[in-house]
Amino acid sequence: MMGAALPSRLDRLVRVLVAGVIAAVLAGAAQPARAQAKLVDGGNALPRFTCNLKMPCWYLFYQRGAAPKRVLYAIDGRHAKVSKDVYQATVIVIPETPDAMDYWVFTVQFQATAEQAQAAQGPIATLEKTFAAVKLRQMKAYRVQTGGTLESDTKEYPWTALPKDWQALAFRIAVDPEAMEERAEQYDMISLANLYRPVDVVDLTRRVLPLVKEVR
Amino acid sequence: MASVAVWRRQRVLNSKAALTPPEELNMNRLPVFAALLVALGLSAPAWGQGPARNIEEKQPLRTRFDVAEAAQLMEVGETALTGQAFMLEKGSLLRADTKLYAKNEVVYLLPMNNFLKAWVEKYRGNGLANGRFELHPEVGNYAARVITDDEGRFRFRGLKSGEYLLWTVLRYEKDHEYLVNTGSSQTVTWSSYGIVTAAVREPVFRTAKATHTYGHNIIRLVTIAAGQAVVDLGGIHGDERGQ
Repeated sequence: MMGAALPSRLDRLVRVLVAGVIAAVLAGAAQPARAQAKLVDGGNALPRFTCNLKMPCWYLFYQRGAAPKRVLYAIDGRHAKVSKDVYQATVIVIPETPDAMDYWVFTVQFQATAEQAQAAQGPIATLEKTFAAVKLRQMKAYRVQTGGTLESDTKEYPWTALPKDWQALAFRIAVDPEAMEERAEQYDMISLANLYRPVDVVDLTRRVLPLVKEVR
Repeated sequence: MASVAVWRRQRVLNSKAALTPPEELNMNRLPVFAALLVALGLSAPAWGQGPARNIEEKQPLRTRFDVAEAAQLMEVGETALTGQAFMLEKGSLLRADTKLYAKNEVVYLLPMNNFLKAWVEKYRGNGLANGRFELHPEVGNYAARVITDDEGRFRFRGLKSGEYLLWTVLRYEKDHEYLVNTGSSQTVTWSSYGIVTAAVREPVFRTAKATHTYGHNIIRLVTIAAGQAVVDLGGIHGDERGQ
């Protein structure tokens, strides 16, 4: 009897000891000596838009097509009057789903008198005569293929008539010194980002597209 | 033997809670330290006789920040730069090291113009993050910027070949316990004849908890060689010294 009881007592003792050690380890693990660091989420990455005017202030202002094949147009909303009656704007054309082309960047100039610039603040339905009188020229442009190849066009083109397309909407924004502060809603401008490089705007736009409401 | 009745009295003298500085310098003891130093024949080195490095660190940066140069370096190119930013939290005996990834944080890529080269040269020995107060305010205006994904991955596109400084700050929170000085207590021992036989004054503390937010700087010097399509930095943490 004794010979049989001794191993069982030892066995019980070992079990108690093992259980005690496991409990002590678990208790130690549950209460680490140092506080654990917790990550701070950077948020939705779109903080309140306060534009630093030393960098481009990008706004989406036009789109064509339907998701997921939309083509979006972003403009640098800063007012740039380069000479008398000449205004300059930079526009990025961003395909939502890049096909052969990744994106385009255009620097264009508009030629308009002070009266035409003033009239451009009115309802768009009344601007047919104004648009017909305004001239446009491309100063420089580049496009990037999906594979990353860059194609530049640095030629300055002659003045032409203003097409009734995104160029007309860009004209209204470019000639209005208070487009960003006062008439962003009237011009359907959706604030996007304050970024130096157009390619960063393209990447950010594609990232936040699910959050962007439809652009007219 | 006459019996002596003893009362003990405790009171909080100053009930205003005040944070106790972790390493408060006792100003009353300074003259004692100074006297000791003089007695031992020790004195602080005179200005101008210390190591040359210390003198250089006090000189402000004289290199001008050239806006045109910075803009030219940021022109569009054809190279992509990728990586994954994280910080390593040291574990304990029971807990392994933990990786915290920079989630939705802005990553800056600054082109190495002449100003930034001089700045890096000045501060790289002691950690670049320590020199951020002397960065020109316009430096960040001429930078590529992207946002990390949930796992700290980032991708810059359209870069020209050249040298860059990559910088991001991973923010994290940590709980801390600290002592709050709530006043002091005095223990007075009286005899039955009203004569004070002992008086001891001690501070009273209570433990409080707080959560603080910290920033972990991740800084790297990056070189992009001409003709490279993609440069992958892999996982990066700490500054350029890996600290």
